[in-house]
Amino acid sequence: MKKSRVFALSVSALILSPIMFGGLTACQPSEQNENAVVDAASFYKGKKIKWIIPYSPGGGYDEYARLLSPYLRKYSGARFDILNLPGAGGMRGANELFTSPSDGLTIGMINGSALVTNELVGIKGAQYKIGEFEFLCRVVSDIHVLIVSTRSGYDSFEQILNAEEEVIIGATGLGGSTYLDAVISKEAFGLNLKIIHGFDSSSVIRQAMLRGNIVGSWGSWGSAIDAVDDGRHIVVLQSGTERNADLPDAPTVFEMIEKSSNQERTLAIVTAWESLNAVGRVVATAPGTPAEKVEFLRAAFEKTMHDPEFLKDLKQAGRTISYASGDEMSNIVARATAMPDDIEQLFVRAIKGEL
Amino acid sequence: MGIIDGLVSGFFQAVSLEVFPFLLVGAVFGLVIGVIPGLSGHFAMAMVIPFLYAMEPGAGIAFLLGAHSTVAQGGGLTAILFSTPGTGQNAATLLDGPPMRDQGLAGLATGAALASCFLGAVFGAVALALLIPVLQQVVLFFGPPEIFVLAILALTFVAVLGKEDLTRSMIAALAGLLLAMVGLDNVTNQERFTLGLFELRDGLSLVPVILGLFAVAEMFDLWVRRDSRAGGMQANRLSAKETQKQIFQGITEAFKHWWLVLRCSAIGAAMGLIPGLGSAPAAFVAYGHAKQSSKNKDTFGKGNIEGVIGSEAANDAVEGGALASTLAFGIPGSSSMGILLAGLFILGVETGPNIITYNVDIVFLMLFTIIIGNLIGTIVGLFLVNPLSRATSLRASILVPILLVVVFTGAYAVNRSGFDIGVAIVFGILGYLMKELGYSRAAMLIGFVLGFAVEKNLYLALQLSGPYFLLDPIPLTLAIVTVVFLGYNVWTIIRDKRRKKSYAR
Amino acid sequence: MHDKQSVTKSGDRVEEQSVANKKSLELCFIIVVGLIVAAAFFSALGYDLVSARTPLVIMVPLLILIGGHFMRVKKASRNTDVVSILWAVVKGENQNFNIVAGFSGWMVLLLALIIVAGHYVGIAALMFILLRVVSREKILLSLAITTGVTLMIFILFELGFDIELHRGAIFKIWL
Repeated sequence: MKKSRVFALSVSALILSPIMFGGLTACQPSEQNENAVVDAASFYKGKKIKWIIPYSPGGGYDEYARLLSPYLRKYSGARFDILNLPGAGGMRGANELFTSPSDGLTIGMINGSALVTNELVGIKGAQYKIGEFEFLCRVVSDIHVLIVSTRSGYDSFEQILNAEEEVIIGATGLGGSTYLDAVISKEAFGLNLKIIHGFDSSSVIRQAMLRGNIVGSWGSWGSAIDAVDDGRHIVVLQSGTERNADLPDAPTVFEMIEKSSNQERTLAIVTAWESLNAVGRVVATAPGTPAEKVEFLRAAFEKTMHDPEFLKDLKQAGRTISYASGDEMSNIVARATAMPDDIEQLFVRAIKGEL
Repeated sequence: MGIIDGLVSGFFQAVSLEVFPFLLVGAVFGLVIGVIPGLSGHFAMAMVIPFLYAMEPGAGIAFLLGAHSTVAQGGGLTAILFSTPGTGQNAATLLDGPPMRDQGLAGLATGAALASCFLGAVFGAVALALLIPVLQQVVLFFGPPEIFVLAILALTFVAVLGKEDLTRSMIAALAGLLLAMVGLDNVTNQERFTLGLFELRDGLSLVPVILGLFAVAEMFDLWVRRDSRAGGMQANRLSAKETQKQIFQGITEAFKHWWLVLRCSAIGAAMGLIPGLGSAPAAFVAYGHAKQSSKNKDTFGKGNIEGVIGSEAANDAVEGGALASTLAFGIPGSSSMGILLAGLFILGVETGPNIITYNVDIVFLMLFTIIIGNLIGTIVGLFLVNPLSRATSLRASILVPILLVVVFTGAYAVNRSGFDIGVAIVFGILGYLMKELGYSRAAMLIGFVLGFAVEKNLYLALQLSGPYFLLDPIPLTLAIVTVVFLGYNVWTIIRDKRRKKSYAR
Repeated sequence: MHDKQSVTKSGDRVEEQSVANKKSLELCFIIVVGLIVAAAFFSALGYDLVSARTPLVIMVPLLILIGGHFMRVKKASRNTDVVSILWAVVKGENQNFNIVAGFSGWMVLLLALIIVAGHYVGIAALMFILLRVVSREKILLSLAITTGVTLMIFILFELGFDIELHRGAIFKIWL
């Protein structure tokens, strides 16, 4: 018995050591070539960039990444390999991105708005600081809409404002975006809402709406489009400062401020809310990445998202973008995290479900 | 376009030169994915998506649905031959498939499984086409209260499965329910039983648990016995000819049991229609029903072909039901359906209740794709059985390391997480102990799979309709059915015990 | 020539032994499971009410069943010398247990190896050790199977499915 154990150990050591030696000799610490300002373009030519997507394969984030990749390759010379790392509602991917080496070879597409709210609340398990990411660009900032079922009898926001009985609104998880939107809108406009959260997904919510169990819910416009087209749901309110081209009939939250009884407070809440939404889905790389590489990648994204061929592909896929440069992103994130204290308290309590 | 025109058009589209090759490739791809443990329908769909951008709608649909329809078939093959379920849906096949293999009837089992899969798929596809226009009314009847009672009903099948040893089965089932509670409760953001581990926040992933409980546990068993004469999976080495003969026998058996196939397919399709339950429960419920209605109840679990037929038929029918409800509403019932919808969207296919009015030929194209895809899967599967079953007669000392490594890779691949390999190991040890001590792993699995649905729907039912939701028509009927069913089973257990006592005297 | 009587006797004895082993095993199993569920019960008591409801409702009957079953098994094993069986296991004399424990140990080692040195090193090592060291298969065969399967997995998963298998912490530290 003992002989084989020794054998086993030595075999393991034998197998391990070439790997270790291989690792040792193959590595080249990236900081060693500081003497010359590394020409980013030649650095990236032919390299493989890992693109972290914090969700399971097949979702919207994947689709954006896939649409962007060929053009990014054209403008950067590097190949983009999508890596799906689902878990903890996107936090796992964000953590992985934050702790990845700052050599400019790992980027990630993360839900910026959700990460900001997570950080506001100080959620457990977050290894990142949203402000410290190196932002490359914003891909899209989803429009949030309040949709109601045509069965519900409500067809405008005014009706909901003046509703005498409780309007039942559905939401997914506590602290999630559909929940937060519902609670904040209730606070901002003094709505008479009963918010039932805990639905697994927006699909289940929509089924409940079809059945007439609930009146409506908040969600992103992208996921509501087909139901609205079918005439089963209508949009009664949208986020944003001006009406989106696809939604000419639904008032924006800013327009509705005048109906509120405490306009100043409502304005403050809605402004903060909007700044959160503005963060949207962003592409970022690890903190500490050298400036030239960040600039190079930012330029690649900028060229890609203005490329007419790309825009054509985008349209065909039925997706929209709302580009913001990496520079702008730092400001946008700063605005989102720098709310006035009382508003921040409000949001924190809302996310925690204390409202 | 009229129904007949749609049917004809759909059929010819499916077999046309532009479409058929994609159907073929998709079906084989799906089969391969199904065979590899840990990779499931969701994964197959995700792999297909990038190709869809450049495809015509017809070809794209064929590729997508072709791949989707054969995954469960592939999973059934490995479940029987290697005790390794390729996907979660095939877990129920593990109850009687491997025992048949151990008795030297692997060919019989796989033949029956493949044929039942095909028949179940046909049933599901036909149900799909028939139901879409009617679906609006039907599915809307199933809200949280109804789903809750249905899930409880499915749970009571544990009583049927574990009749021989009720205490142990109940312990297993309750433990399974408890395991489903691990993770973050999204109602209160309360972390439950996560031991502070980040990886457990989303709960235990189904696939690593199944792989551990059934596949790794089997590896343990083989390993322990490997030096004895009974080592190796097949007691008698079957020749290729013998296997071939058995396969055809198996196919005929499936057709002979057509009434069982029909009933189990109906169960599968019905449960597939209901969003949120997932596909694994359907197979178990069908299995329970097969056992319940069989004349040889006691041979279930030891290698009764009806068990294999029932679970595999339900397996494939489930997909048809899920597809029907997904198409009818444009709302996905499960994650793989979600990807399917995304794929259809890319192809420019509109979904929703209007699909039957505006695009009836596409509906029939889908129907035929599923049927033909499954047929291809069955045929290719038949050819795979012989070489694969050769592998099972390898020495355990060789087979186990290979299978173990494949299983672990599959477990990792689900979420790209090494933690899941650990989960598989832990459940492997647990599964082996349960196997040795006679605790029903199937009961634990049912508890685990349904636990989430039970809790979530109870909560929503209480929120939406208040505590009297049980008194609504459908929940009430289902509840009565459940009580009657449970009562009958308890009564037979008591009656059998009394009989045993009187015999002993 | 086999004496029929002694064969039956030793067959009986072997069976008796394995039944006795099983009973002791179940006793331990039930105790461990009971303890784990009890621990879960106490942590659940500290949860938010809405979240704690269902787990508690599940655990009450579970604990009762476990308790009842424990009594049953204990009664059934009152003639078995559980303590000495367990002692034999601890001393390393129970063959089955050693095999199972050894196997589990190798699997855990594999996991550690995967995390540290990457997926391929881990599975190659596990296969080789199980084949050559534990089962004493021919060295050529072991090497062939190890390299063959590792290569196949590489081709299938990395090239075929584009799933990057874990590279290992070692690389992360050095590169």
